[in-house]
Amino acid sequence: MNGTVVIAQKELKQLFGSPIAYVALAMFFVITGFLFFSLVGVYTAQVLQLQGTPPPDFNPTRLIFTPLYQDTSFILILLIPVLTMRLVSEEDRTHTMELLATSPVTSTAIILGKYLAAAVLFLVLLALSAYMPLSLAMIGRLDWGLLASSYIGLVLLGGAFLSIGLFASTLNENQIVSAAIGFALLLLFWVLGFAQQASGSGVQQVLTALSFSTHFTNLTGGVIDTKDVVFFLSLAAFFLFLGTLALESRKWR
Amino acid sequence: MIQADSLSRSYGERWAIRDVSFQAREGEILGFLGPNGAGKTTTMRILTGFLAPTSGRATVAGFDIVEKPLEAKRHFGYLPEVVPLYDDFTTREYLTFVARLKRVEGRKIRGAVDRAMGLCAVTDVADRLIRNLSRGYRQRVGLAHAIVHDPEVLILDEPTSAMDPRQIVEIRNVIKALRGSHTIILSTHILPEATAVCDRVIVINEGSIVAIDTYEQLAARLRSSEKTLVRVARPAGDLAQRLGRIPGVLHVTAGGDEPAGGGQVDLVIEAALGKDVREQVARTVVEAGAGLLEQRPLAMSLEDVFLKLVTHEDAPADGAHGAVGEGARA
Repeated sequence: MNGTVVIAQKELKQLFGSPIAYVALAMFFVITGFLFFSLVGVYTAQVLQLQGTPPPDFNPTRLIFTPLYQDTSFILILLIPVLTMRLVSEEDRTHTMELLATSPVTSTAIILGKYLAAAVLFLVLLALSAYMPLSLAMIGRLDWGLLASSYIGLVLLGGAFLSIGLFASTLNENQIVSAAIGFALLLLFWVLGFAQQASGSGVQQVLTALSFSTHFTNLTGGVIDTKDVVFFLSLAAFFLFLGTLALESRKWR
Repeated sequence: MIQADSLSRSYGERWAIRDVSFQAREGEILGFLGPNGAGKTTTMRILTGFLAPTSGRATVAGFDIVEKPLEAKRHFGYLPEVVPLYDDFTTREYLTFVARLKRVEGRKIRGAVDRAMGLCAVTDVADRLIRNLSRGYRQRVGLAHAIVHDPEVLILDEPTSAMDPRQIVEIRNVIKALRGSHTIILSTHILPEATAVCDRVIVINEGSIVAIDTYEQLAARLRSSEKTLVRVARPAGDLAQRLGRIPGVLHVTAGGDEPAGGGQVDLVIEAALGKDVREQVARTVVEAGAGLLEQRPLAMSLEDVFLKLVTHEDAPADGAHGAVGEGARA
């Protein structure tokens, strides 16, 4: 446990001491900010068209934030590999992994420490993104339950993405290659959902169950299902395990 | 303190090291000597748990490195061949991180870092970014990181590479200062280094141990004759022949290692092992009126010992085998 914390602190220091954290934050906020701006614009136009007689299911939270967070998930596919690519690759390139691996810490502690640091950065990013609903809450009523469900969805999704990105980083000492592998894995899990119509019913169920989009859509829709929560948590745990395995297996290669 | 029992490691078909056995006693400095690619780094990586051995066992400070890695890792410091530094940290930040990683108690960390910086003479760059340090400083920060938690065992992979001669002397002094309180194993391909700091030398070649002994013993065992160099000012025509007639002298050859200038001539007199012919040689030269300028015994340099051991050329076969046998028993 001690080792995990020491490594997490070191990683945070490096993440915030290098441009990568700020570039990622800036990229995230420019794109989500623009999406938010245009969604609010569309919503305003619809309100004007309806001339003050909105139908009962006309919910600003659902019209603005559900699509916003759906799109955010896609931005995360691009962003998370950038956050995680250096975690192990850089240690390999500079040979500092030899220090970590010969110190009294387990491979699990190394992986968890790095994961924890990336998770902290990701949570900071999500916390800052709360300015969007909060700014609208000042001038109107929002559906807080739906927002909470969306944020839980983003945290779970991000947690799974980070562990996949971290695993990708253990595979190669080149950061760009690690980012590409991470990006490919995330995209693969995403498009599994698209393929479901194309295949037979048995395969279809498996593909649907493995796809990010299926599970995430439930959460941004306001439904917190144990099935979806377990899916993301087990996916994160599985790839953390694979990452640990990848580090451990190096001794034997 | 360090015990290796027939360690072997293969990469696919190729064996990096084969059946390497040795032990380092407490407080001893053990030198690991071998040409590049001989298996020095592989052996050290196995001892530190960075690589697993294909077969064999290794214990460091009494803990098996495969079965009890965490315990073993608390008791050694390891300086890898490529110094593992974080460029975006200052020296102090880096050493503090390493101290915490090596489980130095919280309140002792500051003292431990200051001590390590003092010993390795890097206190003056404590607050500089490692990125901006010269190679000599980087190497010394690396040494500081290996000793920051005051381990009983130090494993140093080529600690003096990339340093200038003055720094090499300083680092050797640091290593010598740790002798007695620490068990040190260091690898090097710089031969004089092994004689300068090591109590015993392990010569490794092509993945196998060729010899384990003190340098003096190795040299003595491999020496087949006593050599004396004589420098004369005016070589008389028959001086060589007269020297050759001295009882015990095997042969006399002209020229030493370095050419002598100004008409001076160097003669190397080779005598049978155990025969002391120095007195007769001096008398013969003086009687010949050749003008004796210098006379000194030619010791076998470590380079000679090393080359003899690793090239198998006219090395006494039983001697080399005896060394391996000794290693296996150890």
